Amino acid sequence: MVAYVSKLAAKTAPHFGQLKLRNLIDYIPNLAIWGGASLAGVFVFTEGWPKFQDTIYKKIPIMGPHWQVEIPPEDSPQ
Amino acid sequence: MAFSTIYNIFFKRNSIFVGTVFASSFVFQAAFDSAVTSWYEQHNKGKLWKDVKAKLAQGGDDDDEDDEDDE
Repeated sequence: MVAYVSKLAAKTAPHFGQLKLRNLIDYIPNLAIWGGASLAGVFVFTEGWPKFQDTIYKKIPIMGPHWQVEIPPEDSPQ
Repeated sequence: MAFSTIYNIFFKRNSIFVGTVFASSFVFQAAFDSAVTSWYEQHNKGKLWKDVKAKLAQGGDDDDEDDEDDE
């Protein structure tokens, strides 16, 4: 009997269902752009939110003054 | 710019397409709001509370003259 083994030396790549590590890496640039798109979406829908206005939108270079509305204390209901 | 260039930049990847839509809508909603507000304040100059308030602080009793005009 011969010593060498005659079977396929194939290994299964680590995978989760159809998703393998290789195609997950290939998706990284596209997923990064999706992250940017989601951030822009968050910006759109939180535009009227005071906390977001104070922390982010008022500090945007050219558009910032749009959110910097100053109401004199005697005209403010609070 | 050729249409194929526009296609390759903006429409080929859906992530860039959606991102462009969101980014431009964020800029547009602020710019449109600013534009409409400044037009409105220009159009109604003198009738706005900030103008009336300044006039009241300056002249004091302008109400009497208005009453006389009405009568």
